[in-house]
Amino acid sequence: MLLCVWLLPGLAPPARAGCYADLLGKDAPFAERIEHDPQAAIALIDAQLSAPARGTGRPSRAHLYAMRADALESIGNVDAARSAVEAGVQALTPADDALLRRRLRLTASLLLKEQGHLDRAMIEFGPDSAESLGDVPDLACVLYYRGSLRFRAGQNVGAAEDFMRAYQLARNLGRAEVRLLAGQMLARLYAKYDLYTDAHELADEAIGFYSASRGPLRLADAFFLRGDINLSQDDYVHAADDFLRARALLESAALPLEVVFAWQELCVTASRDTRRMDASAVCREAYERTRATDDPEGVKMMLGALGEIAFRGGHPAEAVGLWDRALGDDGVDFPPRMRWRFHRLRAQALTRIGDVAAAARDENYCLDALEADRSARSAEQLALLHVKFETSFKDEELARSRAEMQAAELTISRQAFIRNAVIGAAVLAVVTVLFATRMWSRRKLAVDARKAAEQQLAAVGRLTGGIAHDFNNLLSVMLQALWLLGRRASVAEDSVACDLVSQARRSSEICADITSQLLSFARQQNLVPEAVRLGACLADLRPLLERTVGSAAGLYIEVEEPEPVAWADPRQLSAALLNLVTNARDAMISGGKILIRVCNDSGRRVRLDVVDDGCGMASDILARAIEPFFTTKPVGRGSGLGLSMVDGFATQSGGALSVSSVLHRGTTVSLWLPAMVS
Amino acid sequence: MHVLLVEDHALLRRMLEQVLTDAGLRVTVAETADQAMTIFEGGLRPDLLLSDIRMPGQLSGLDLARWTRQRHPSLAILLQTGFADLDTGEFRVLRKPFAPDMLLAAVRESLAGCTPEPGDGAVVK
Repeated sequence: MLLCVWLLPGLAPPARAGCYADLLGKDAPFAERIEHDPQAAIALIDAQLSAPARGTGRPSRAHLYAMRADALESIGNVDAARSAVEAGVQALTPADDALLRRRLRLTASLLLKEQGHLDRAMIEFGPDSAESLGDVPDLACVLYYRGSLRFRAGQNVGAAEDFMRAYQLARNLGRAEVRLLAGQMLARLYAKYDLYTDAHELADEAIGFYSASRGPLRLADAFFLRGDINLSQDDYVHAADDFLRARALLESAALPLEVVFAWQELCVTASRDTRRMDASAVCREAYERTRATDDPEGVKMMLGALGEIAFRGGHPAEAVGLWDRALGDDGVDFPPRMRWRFHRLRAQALTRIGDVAAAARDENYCLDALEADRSARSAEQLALLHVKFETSFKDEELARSRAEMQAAELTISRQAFIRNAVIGAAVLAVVTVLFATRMWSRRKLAVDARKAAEQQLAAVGRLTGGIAHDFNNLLSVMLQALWLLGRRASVAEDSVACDLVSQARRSSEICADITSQLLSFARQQNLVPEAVRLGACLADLRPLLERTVGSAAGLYIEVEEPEPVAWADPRQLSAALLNLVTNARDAMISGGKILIRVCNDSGRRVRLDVVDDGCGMASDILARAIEPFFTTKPVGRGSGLGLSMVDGFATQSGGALSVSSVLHRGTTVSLWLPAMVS
Repeated sequence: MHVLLVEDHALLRRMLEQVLTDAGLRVTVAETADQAMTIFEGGLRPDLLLSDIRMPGQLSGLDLARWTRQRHPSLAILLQTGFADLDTGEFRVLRKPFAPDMLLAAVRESLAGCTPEPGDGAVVK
């Protein structure tokens, strides 16, 4: 509870004694005294501490110091409380239990945070403390606390993980306040990594909740949040709407400082969309109001926004002057994204007024900063999504175990009912109800699990598509750079340099192929379908397929008459066949036979079977065979993308893929494709 | 021949600019479709618009291409993208990643297909 009181002002009244009575059961008298008369408690504790001899059953010195810190903190003496905690840590002996040790560290961390020493608060809290405090009823609060520490220290992924867990835990425990606070922090992080749908969902939830009650400040905060999300999506209309509502709420609540924040947000919005609002009036008002407060960072942001308006209004020189003032190096912190924005715009304005050298300096600054940001962001976004899946699966397990628990409770109450009412019909009815409930919940669980798996697959697909797109840009850069390099006279004359350039180009091209495979598994492959005569296609491919299979196994091809003609992308079809044959070869431990069979299937589809008599798959492996990144091959042999790539190709082409297998007997993979309709 | 190159990826923009310049073309660059439109409105008349499709800002490359085709039907348009789902068939689209040879061939073909506006003096190679 202590944590909640500190973290969440305005929540339930403090119950320190209750919190510590759990931790230090035998010290309950002290705890009570600390709450009611802290000064007297301190005197009592000091007397105990100065007593030289100590009997058994009395609190240890570390215990006493922990309680002293608590009493001092409750009368507002944070410095002395910290000294007490430090003394407590010094006094710890092996006889003290681990919980006390953790409690001291947690108190130390909270006090350090209170004093503004964020870094040290983090260190004191330690990376695993939240987990080890799992037996404290306020784990959700602890997680929220650590999340906010990590967030402020810029550890976004770790912070997101904490907020997610805090959110879910608070939801499962029915603690709305913690849930919404964690949700809003999470929404900010989602928006930062372009996960706007999730961010909006959480922001809307907060707005809905705070609209009902809790006062204007919380609601205004939620509107600020949604406005910021809209702003980062360049949705200026809705952003302005949200900020206007926040401003109205804060004005009616007579909160002048917060009203200035609303003006600032409105100014930034207006400066990016000069058509809709009277941007210069809004920004000038915001600038004046900001100047009247002690907010140097705000003043600089307003200057930047005014610069943007001047630039859009066709006054580049004036804009440059304003940005010079905004970006001046005087130690005032500035949100990095805004800083880049203004540097970039200043570069454009400088170009307009003909100062190319200064423009180039700005351009280079942005180039370096944005490149660094982009690579860090993709890695962090990936990590964030990973955390999201992990957490959502944990949550699902939790929900499942709760459902099972409820089912068990239901069973027990039914049994009691049967005992009391010995009526045959009732028994029958109960049994029927029970059976139906069981069946229903079992089916629902299965459906939920399948839905979750599909969602995960779709999200991994989207993610992979995004990464492949980044790669495509970067590979383009490499290909252009190598081409330019190869054309330079000093390289063209040097055969070793030429060779190195061509090797680099070759590997870039291989990378491009891999990227295209990634896209095909993400079902974002660019397919150019045409009529493919499968007999001819296989005849062309035969030498390559035979080389792939090697001498260990025999390759047989059977093509039905009349020759099946598919409507598909020939290049991707060849790649898919090569993949299937490679899999078949790898299933052969000691030689065997691989058969490719092509037939017309119902006139509207054609079917290609790749049949091997290799080692086959057990049913659990078979169930996962198409899953991306799933592989049974040794590390370095397979990417786990082969079958999922073929599946993606089939689905995107309007066909299908199926795999059947018998362990130790062999595997048949069937690929259906639309037939060419003549 | 004058190319307006629109690409938001800064490194790639720089490289493409150099490749095109090396091939003897005059190049003007823009970071976004919005910026390119401002440049058009400023009176620039290139022979070819070479634009990425998915970019930050209000307009996509596709919007820009449609707008340009309506205003300046004689201008050659070539789009490039790393996504597969963006090819609507209205314009010629280059798939990223592409080698410079591919790019230059496509640029040449696009320029050869364009008809100069009467009186603007452009010479078709």
